[in-house]
Amino acid sequence: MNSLDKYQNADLSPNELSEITDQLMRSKYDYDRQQRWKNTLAHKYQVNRQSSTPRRRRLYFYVAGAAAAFALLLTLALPLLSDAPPSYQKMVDEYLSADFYEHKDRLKGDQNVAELELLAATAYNRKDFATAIDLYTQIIETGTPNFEHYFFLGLSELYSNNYTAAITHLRQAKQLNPNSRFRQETQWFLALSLLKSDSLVEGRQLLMAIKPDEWNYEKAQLLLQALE
Amino acid sequence: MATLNLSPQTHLTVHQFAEYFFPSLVEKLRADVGLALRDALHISHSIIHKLKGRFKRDIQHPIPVFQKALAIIVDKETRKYRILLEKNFGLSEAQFIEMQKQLQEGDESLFEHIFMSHFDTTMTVLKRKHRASHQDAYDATMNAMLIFCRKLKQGDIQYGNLQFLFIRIATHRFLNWIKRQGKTEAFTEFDISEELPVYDEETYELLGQAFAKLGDGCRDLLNAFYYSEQTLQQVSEQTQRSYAAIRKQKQRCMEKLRGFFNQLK
Repeated sequence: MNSLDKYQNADLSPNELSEITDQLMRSKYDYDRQQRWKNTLAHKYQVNRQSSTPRRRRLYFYVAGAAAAFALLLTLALPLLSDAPPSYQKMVDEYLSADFYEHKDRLKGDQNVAELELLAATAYNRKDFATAIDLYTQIIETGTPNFEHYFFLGLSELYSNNYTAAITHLRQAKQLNPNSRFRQETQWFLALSLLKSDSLVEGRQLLMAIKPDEWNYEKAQLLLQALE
Repeated sequence: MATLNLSPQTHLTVHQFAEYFFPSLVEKLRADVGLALRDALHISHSIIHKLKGRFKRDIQHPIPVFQKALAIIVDKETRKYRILLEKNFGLSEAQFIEMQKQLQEGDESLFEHIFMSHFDTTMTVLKRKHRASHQDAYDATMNAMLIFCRKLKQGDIQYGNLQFLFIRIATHRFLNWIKRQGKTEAFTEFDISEELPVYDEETYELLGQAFAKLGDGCRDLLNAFYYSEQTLQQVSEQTQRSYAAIRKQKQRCMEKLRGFFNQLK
């Protein structure tokens, strides 16, 4: 019997429970870190697990193209094959769980960032969204809020499945600075929040406004297909 | 270097000289070498200590005698410092301690920034020296980063030559991997024996959901143990609660987590 089976079925002594929990939790945190690091390495440092030699890159594009086409077909076919919730909902969930949007400003080591902001960003990156929400709310209530505070407050609400609050705060972020450096991100996450709360018309409009050279254009197209 | 109104003919003991010139030495190290205040202070103390060792305590000398000796020591110490930084991913000892402190408090951002900046270099070493494939080099370096992160939190890694140690861990991981494929002999020179089991994505997903169902108290406590790698004793000191109470609470939290996990499975 492996440790996971034991964890689910057997009577465990306190020591065994401690040992298996230890393995599970540490392994999960390592897994989360790897996903986060892979993403940052690829986007910020251009280091990918796939080699980027020209031949391999071509092969990669063929495979990626085929995979995308398959994914699109699958997306279109799924609603016909099952009674499951609409596929766009699943896609939104997948996008949210697979691509956690990290607060990268912490990496710049800006010493002027206020302590509360640092704490909020740290809690957010740790995915401790309840604490992040508390801290961003405090910042907004006591200080001079900027679009970034509303943006990450909105994201914290979205990742906590509070879609109405997410919509409110992402709209506030957009309103405060419509051309902020998070403009594309705000649009994308606002669209996801709207879809999650079944505001399909507005969600669709926002997705359609994403231009081909903008962030997550391909994903937006797949979502639009799923919405049809 | 000095801006004090002392003539070159002024005679001082080494202690008097050190007292007068210490502030300008710190400023010089900050301006010329670009050191942070904390590091400039640290190195200045070390330089002055060495200077004092070269002169008899009560004998007076003209200021230029000390300045000449000081210039030689400063040159030597700053060169040593630059080499040390090079060996430690550009981190000074003070910055290393800060990074370790941040990690123990659950903030991995500085660690990630530093190690990801050197990820590619480590991969290149594995590829060139051990003919690792691109993917193997990537996986081994990723694995080394996970181990380094954990060991730093646990306080097992000392400042000194972090780059060398990091490459050694990545190399060990790679050679261990190919050993399992039957391609080479065992690599036992470096001892990193702990290896966590890997579960499927669904298990991690369910565990995450079960964890989210816990109350704040349990989440914080389990995070302290498994994310920040703190010991029962450390958590007990931080929360100012008894060791026994923390141990009991941890047991209850683990049981709750298991309960939620099994409900979801």
